[in-house]
Amino acid sequence: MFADVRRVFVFGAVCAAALVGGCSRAAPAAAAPDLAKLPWDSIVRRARGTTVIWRMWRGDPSVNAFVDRWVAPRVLAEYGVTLQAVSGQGSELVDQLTVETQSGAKVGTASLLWINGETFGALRSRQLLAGPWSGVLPAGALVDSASPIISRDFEQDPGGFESPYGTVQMALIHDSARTPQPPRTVDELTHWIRTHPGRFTYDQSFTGITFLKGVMYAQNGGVGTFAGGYDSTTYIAARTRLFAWLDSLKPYLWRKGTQYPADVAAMHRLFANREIDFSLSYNQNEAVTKALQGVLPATSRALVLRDGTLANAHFLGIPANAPNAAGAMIVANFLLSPAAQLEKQRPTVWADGTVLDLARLPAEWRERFDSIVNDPRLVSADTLRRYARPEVSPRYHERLTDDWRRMIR
Amino acid sequence: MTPRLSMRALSVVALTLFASAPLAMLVVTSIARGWFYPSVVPSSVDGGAWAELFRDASHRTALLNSVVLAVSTALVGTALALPLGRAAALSTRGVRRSVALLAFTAVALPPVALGAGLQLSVLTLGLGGTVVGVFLAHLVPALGYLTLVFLGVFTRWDLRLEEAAATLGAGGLERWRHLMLPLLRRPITEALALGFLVSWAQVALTLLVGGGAVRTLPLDVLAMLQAGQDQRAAAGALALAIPALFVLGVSRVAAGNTPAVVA
Repeated sequence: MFADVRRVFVFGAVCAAALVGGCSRAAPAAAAPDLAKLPWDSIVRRARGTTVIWRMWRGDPSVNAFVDRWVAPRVLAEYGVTLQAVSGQGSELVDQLTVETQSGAKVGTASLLWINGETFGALRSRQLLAGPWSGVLPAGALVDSASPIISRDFEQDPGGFESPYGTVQMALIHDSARTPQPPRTVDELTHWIRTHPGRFTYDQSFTGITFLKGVMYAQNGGVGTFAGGYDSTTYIAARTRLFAWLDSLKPYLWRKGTQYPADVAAMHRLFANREIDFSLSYNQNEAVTKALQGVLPATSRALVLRDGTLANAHFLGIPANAPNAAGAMIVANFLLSPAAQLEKQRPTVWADGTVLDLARLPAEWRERFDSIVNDPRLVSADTLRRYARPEVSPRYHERLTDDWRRMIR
Repeated sequence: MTPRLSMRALSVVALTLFASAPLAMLVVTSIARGWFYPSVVPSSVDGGAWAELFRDASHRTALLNSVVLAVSTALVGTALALPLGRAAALSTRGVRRSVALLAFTAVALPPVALGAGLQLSVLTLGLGGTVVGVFLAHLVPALGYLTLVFLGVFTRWDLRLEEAAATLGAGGLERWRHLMLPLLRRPITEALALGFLVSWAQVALTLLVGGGAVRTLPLDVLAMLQAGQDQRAAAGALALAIPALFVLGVSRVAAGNTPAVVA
C-alpha cells in the first residue's frame, strides 16, 4: 500500500525536477538606460526578431483590436518585432513586478507597461521601472511637450522613465434625445439634480471619484489651488465643502444615495436603460465609440463642464526586469508615429486623444487629424482644450477615495 | 389529472424554466444589439459578438488555453488522485485522515488565498505567466477534489475481489484491465468531468499565477463584463457553458453504461 503512495511521490518529484530543469532562465537582457545611449539604428537592429510582451488594460474590445490587429502586424512587418498584449493594470502591475523581483528571477515576463499617475509613482519609488530611455525615441520630437497634461503625469516628472502615447479628458455622457438641454456647469448640474430626483449618480470606482475631484476643484478656486504637491489643510477644507454638497444632494440621487454603481460599466447600463440620465467617462469620445458599438444609445453625446474637467495622459513604461527593452522602445516609438496616433484617434477605432503637437506635423497629416477631430458628434477640440485641467498630486485622489468610502458611502 | 400529478407537472415546468431562463436570456443578449429599456425587442439582431468570439485571435488562444488546461487537469488529476486515494484509503487511519485533511484544505481554501501562495511557488519555479504554471496551479484544487472522490470510493472497496482475481492467476495489468477499470468506470468518468470543470471555471488562480499572460475564456468573459460589453460577454458565457454541459452529459452517459456497481 505504501509502495503506491511512494510511487506517486517519486513520480511527482520527477515531474517537478523535469519542470525546474527544463526551464532555462534567459540571460539578463540589455537594460533600457544603456540601450538609450546607443544610436537608434542599433536599437532597431537589436530588436529585430524579438518578442515584446505588453501588459495593458484589456477590457475594451476596440482597444484590443487596435493593438492586436493594427499595431501588432505593422511592428512585425516594419521592425520584425512580435507584439503580444497581455492583461494587467494599476496595482496589479506593481504586485506582479514586486513578486517577480522577490522570486529572485533576474528577468521578468513583460517588457512594456501601460501606466500613469499613481502606478507610475509606485513603480518608480520601488525602483521597478527602467530609465531614462524615452529621450532616444525619434518620434518623440513630435510630442506636444508644451502641454502641461502631457509633460507632467499627475504633477510627476516622467523623467524619461515613461513615454506618453495618448490623452483623455473627463466628460459627462448624456442622451441628446432625452436631455437636449443638459447642464454645463457644476451649478447648473446641482440645479438639474434637484429638479430631477433619482436621475443622477456617479460610480464608486476611479471615474466617479475623478468626477468628484473635478467638482472639488471647481468649488475651491480651480485646480491651481491644489497644485504644487499634496497639502492636507487645503484638502480638508475642500473636502468639507464637497461632502456638504454631496450631503445636500443625497436625497436627489439615484436610490437616494444609498447605493452607487460599482464601476463605469454598471453606470453605462443604468444610463442606456433609462434608469439615470447621465453617465461618466474618462474619455471624452467614449459616448460616440460606445454608441457605435451598440453599448450606449445612438444619440449619446459627451459634454465637458465649463468649470473645467480633468485631463491626463497615459504612458508606456519599461520594467527594470524587462526581457526585451529594445523591442519595447520600438513599440513605444511606433505608437508615437503620426499614422498610429491618427488610427488610434478614430472614433470607430478607439478615439484616444493624440499626444502629438499637430503644428509640428506636415500639412497632410494635420488635415487628416482635423478631419477626425471635426466630427460633429464629438466635443470640439477647442472646447476640450479650453476646459482641460491637468491632474495634480495623486494623493488627493487616494485621500478622496478613502474618505468617500468611509464617510459618504 | 390528480392534484398530486399536476403539482408534479408544475414543479417540472418551474424547474425547467428556472434552469433554462438564464441560458435563454444569454442567447438573446448575445445577438441583441442596442437593446435598451423600454424596448421589448432588440432594435437590431446580429451575430457580431459570436463572429468576434471566433474571429479574434486572442479569444481563440483563450479558448484553446482553456481546453488544454481543462483536459490536462482532468487527465493528470485523475491519474494522480486514483492511486493516491486508493493508497490512502487502504492505509492506516492516521494516513487516511491526513490525506483527507490535505485534500480538503486544497478544496476549502479560498482561491485567492491559495492563488497568492501558489503564485510565489510557481514564480520560483520560473513558470509564472506560462500555461504550465497555470496548469500546476489548477491541479492543486483539482487534485484535492479528486482525491476526496477516490478516497470515498476506495474506503468502501472490497479488496477480496482483487485477491480472488490474483488467486485465479491474474497479473497486475490484467487485474486493472479486467477488474478494476470496469468496476471504476463510473468514478473515473465522474472524476474526469469534475477535474475538467474545476479547471474550466477557474478565474482567481489563472489570474494570479498566469499574471494576465495566460488568457482563458472565463478571464475574457470577465473582462468583457467589466467593460460593459454585455453582448460579447453573453456570447462568451454561452461558449463557456456549452462545453461544461457537454462534459457533464458525456460523463452521465458513460457512467450510465457501467456494467457492475461498486459498493
